[in-house]
Amino acid sequence: MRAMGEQKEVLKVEKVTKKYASKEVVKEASLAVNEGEIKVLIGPSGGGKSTLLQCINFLVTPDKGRIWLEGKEVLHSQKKNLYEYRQKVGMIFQDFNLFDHLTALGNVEIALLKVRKMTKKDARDRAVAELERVGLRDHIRKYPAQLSGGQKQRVSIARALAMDPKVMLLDEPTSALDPELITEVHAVIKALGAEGMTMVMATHQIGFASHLADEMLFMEDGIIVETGAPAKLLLQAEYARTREFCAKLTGRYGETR
Amino acid sequence: MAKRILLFLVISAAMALTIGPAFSQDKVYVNGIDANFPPFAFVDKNGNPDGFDVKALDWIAKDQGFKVKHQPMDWDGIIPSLNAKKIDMIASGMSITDKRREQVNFSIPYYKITQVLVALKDSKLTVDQLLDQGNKVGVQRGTTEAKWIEENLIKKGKKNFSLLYYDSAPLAVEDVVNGRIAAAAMDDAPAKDAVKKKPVRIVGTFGMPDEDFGYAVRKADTELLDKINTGLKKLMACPYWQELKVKYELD
Amino acid sequence: MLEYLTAIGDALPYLLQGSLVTIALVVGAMALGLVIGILLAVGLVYGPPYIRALFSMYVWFFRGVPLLVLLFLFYFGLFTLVGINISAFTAAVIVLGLISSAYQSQIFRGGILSLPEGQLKAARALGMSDGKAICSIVLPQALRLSIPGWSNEYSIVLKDSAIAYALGVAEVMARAHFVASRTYQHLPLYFTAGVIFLILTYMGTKALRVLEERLRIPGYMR
Ligand SMILES: Nc1ncnc2c1ncn2[C@@H]1O[C@H](COP(=O)(O)OP(=O)(O)OP(=O)(O)O)[C@@H](O)[C@H]1O
Ligand SMILES: [Mg+2]
Repeated sequence: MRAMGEQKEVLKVEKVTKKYASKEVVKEASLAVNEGEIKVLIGPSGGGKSTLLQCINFLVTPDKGRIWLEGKEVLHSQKKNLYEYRQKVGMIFQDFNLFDHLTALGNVEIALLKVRKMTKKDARDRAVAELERVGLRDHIRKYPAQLSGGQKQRVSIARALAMDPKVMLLDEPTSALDPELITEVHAVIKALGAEGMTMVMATHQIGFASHLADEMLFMEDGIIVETGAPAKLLLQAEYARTREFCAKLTGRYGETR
Repeated sequence: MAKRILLFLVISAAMALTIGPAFSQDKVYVNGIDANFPPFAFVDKNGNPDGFDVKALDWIAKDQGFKVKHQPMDWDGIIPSLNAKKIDMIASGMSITDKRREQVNFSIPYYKITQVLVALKDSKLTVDQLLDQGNKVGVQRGTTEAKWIEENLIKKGKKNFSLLYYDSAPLAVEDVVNGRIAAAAMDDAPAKDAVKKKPVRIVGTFGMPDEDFGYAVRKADTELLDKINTGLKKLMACPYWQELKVKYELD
Repeated sequence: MLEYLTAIGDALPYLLQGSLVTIALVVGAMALGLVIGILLAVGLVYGPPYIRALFSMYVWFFRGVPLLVLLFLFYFGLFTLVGINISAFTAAVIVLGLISSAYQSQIFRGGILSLPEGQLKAARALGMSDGKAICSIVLPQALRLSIPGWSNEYSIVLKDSAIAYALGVAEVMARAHFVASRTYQHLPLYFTAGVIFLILTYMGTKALRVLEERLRIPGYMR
């Protein structure tokens, strides 16, 4: 499907560990994502997927571990280095986290103005373009409270895209949505994948994920138990726990082919 | 919009903090007055400082070639205000006492004042009766009469009455009228003013020695004191002094 | 009755001028309190432990010591001690403002804490520094939420401002007292002063109500 040849490594995560109190919520998690690759994190609730994703852009400070973006190690204790890194990593949250006091347009513009220091006009043009890209041309003046869940999530995707991220982290982007709204968000994510966006996504939507993912990672109790192509992981997983989990999910959703 | 409001508030804070010390180039002396002390010092209908001391000091200032502005303030803190340089002089019916002399310098005396008790018009009580029978007597906080009564009548325990403190003598008179206290102890000049405006009468003196009023300045300001003394002597020798006394119904 | 009305009529222009002084006192104090209050609130929520401890002490101090004590302490004590000669008006604005900042900081702190944690996370995820995130994302929302509490604080500062009369600031209360000393019309004058304060309270809270409405984020239910 994708162009073969030289694979450029965009993101590398090495042995990231995060403890809450004395409980290790993420244990020595490692992963590497090449350019244009899509990796999907699956696993039971409380397994540490969200925590791992937030560790990757240091919204949660890991206790141990190292992270590289495009071959350069992220020195998160240096503020400037950290802020520059975060600009290049787009984050999509389960509950959108749109800025409630700003319109759709304002949400996309604000970082362009305050962080990228674009002129008002450039920021506006870019924001409008990104909102158009996610199909919200007619809603740019609306406030989050006036948008549906699916529209909100699309705004948040536009907001992340406007920063020209090298990689996007998506934490269950559709699990707060009513079933009939999920499709529109999935369509946007699918289109992103088609355009070659590098992504790491946590989700419970196995059917959707299995079509999209280059690789799936099964995570439980803070450990990345098993990694593999979707078909392999879902149908012939090595570990019993993975098989159990996948069987339950495919049974529940009944959508794996 | 929100930012403009925020900006407006910040600017107004800055302005509020700067209009305070807005002064002209000319040194204007500030005279602190107790504006609740008619007829020596009060504010007239238009809110301008008025009174015997205000007019007398205006004359002196003109004569001695300095500018003066009258600043109403709380009597309680008037000497601290003088020494903290909030004001430059006090010409507001201030009695000269040894205690005050320790903190400020006084001009020559210009008016002899007697302390009296004021009671309801139809009260038949004498001074001795008023200061007895567990009565309540009101007095202005921070005055010489308050101090004298504390030291000579209360502490020695000869008399059976209690002392209540007020922000001003007129408020004490108001409470006499309200029936909350039996009498108010105060200077005779404002007492006469009260008699004109309220159903009260002057019962008589209560044993406190007469006092002299003088104008107070900071100890260091000897030059200013000289000017005030020279001016005051001139004023007392000229007919305007009598005119003022008539105008403000002193004597 | 007629006597009362004439007394009020005679004094009204003078008292109304005093209401301008009162308004200046309150606007100055509220504005000073706003600026310091925001800094305190941000420090109390996001600051390192030593800042939080320091700011908590500040709040504790200014909420704990009576207004009158602080007025005298600052006017006659501290300012004189350090050699700053300020007017009674300025001193009153500063003291009322410092006290109000302590209360306002708690209003704003409440506003900040009531925001979902995700707001700050999303801002950080876009590469904003904490300072930028606080200024462009947290405060615009927290301050909106604080308007009702702020309106309450306004009415309290307005009433507290009457104590400035103890320093000789010629605001409404001091003027009522001055006139009463001359005319012995205490009842109608203090009554009028009270009415002026009531009107100022009404106007201020009404204005803040309008502001709250104007700044309301569309789509949110009340
Ligand atoms: N701030 C925190 N303090 C303490 N424990 C936390 C905190 N955040 C998460 N945890 C715990 O860490 C574990 C992992 O949580 P996490 O949200 O990463 O799981 P998840 O795999 O994303 O689950 P879900 O599928 O429900 O989103 C859970 O047991 C959770 O209770
Ligand atoms: Mg999660």
